[in-house]
Amino acid sequence: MMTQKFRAFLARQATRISWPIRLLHGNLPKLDRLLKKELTPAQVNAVARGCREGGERFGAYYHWKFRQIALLATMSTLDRDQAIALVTKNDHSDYRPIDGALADSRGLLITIPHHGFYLPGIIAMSERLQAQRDVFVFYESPENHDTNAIFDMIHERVFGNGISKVSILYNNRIGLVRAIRELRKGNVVFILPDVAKRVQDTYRMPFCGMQRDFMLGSATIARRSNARLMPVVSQPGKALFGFSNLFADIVEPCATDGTAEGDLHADYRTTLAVMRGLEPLMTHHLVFWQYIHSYVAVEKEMEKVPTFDTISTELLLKDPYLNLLSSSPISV
Amino acid sequence: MSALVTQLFSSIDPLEPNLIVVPSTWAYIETAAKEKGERCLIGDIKLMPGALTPSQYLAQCAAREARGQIAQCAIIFTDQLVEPHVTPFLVQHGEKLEFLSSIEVLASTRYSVDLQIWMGRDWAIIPATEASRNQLKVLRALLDYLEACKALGSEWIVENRQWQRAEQARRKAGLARARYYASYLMQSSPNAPLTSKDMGILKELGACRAGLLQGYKEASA
Repeated sequence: MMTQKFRAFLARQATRISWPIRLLHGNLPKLDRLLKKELTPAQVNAVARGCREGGERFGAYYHWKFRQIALLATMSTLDRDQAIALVTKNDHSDYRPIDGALADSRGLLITIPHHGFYLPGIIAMSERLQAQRDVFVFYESPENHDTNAIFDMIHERVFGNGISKVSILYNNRIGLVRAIRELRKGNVVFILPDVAKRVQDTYRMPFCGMQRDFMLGSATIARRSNARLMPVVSQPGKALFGFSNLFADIVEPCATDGTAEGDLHADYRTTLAVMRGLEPLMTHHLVFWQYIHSYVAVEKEMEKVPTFDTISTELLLKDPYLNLLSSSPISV
Repeated sequence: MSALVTQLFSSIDPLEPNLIVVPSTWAYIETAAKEKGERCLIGDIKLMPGALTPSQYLAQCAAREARGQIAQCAIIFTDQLVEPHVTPFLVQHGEKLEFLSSIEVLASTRYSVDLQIWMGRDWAIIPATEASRNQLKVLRALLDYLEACKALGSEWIVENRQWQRAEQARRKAGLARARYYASYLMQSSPNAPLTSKDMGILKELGACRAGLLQGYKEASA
């Protein structure tokens, strides 16, 4: 533990004294390797663009990565009381919106993207909410996504005392069924809506000035449990671990006619409303977004898509790319 | 090489209905543009400004036929044709499944165009009468032509687009398109349900997507 504490101390000090790195104009491949995130030229452009939108230089991306490393290193050395003290001291949120949301007895699905200090943000909200509702945090199991092991570990430290009402749900069939059941009972579930296991399962929607792929899972869960969605962003502050949870307006799941396509479109519209809620909270702070480097890849794909705002939607079905099934192989 | 290409083009009567299938090297493209004479060029207009697309050439053949004229002689860069609308023939050879163009078969069988296909060191000559009897022979010749193109190495300027012929690559592109189209369709009505017509299209896009995904998974397994 001593070594861990010393490493955490070093990480904090290194982050504090590395502030001038924010003045860097471009990327440093050696530093990328050190951070275990090597960037392709397209990703470098994406990060640069995200930084520019917030009026920052490229170096702000590195400094933010250092802050994240320092936070995780520190959190992993703390017991419950120390962790809660750290989070409380650094939390500058105005919780009136979430307190107001609890006036409704229906379940609340809190959609919080991988942005800023979402981990202390979730801890702070969970601590507050568990006084009134059972709280569940829904994410991919470490078995499927090994870097999530630290979330399990921190949960065990902070909420693993047996009297806590904050639990983990993994993204699998059992976790999904439980999330829906708990929301129907009026409880609270946290979900991270900006990540996807497979891009094939996503749909594209406008987000922060571009088209981006998102899963519709949060909307589906809300629709099936009649829960409301609350988009939240945990915005970092000026202090090393300072943050504010910022709340967008509550989103009600869109109504459906009950057909599969009706459900799909309702979930799409709900997800779009969630993303529209998150957009103004994130647009000028994209440097804090975990997926900032994915921008250009999405845009490049867009170039391949013919624009169809001027054509009839029926023509979409005539695209030969979609009619592969009609081809039987000719043996030569 | 340029002299050889010039010699080749001058040896084929530009007034006879021939489709001359050649590889995409700068030598062939530049010489073809310079020496084409009465012939037309077929291929990618980004590489050869003024070239016809396969469908434009076939439309021209039909118009000439209506006027009682034979088809125009053409130089075609078949290796440039990789997209689905021009490569509808899914061909299985060995364990490979690839899409090939259809213009060669259509031009020879429908408009009596003889085929002269570059094979590297020599040429495959398939008269229209033979192509009509044995279309597989044309497809085999096109596969051999593409193999010969591979042997050109760095001279072959369209090697980097050939992956699009693979069935799995096309399925993946199809999946992406089905997803984009469904997304944009739904995006077009962000605040209200879709019309029943668009709901029907969304349903069909979903069916396309499911079919493509199943095939993609099976082929990946």
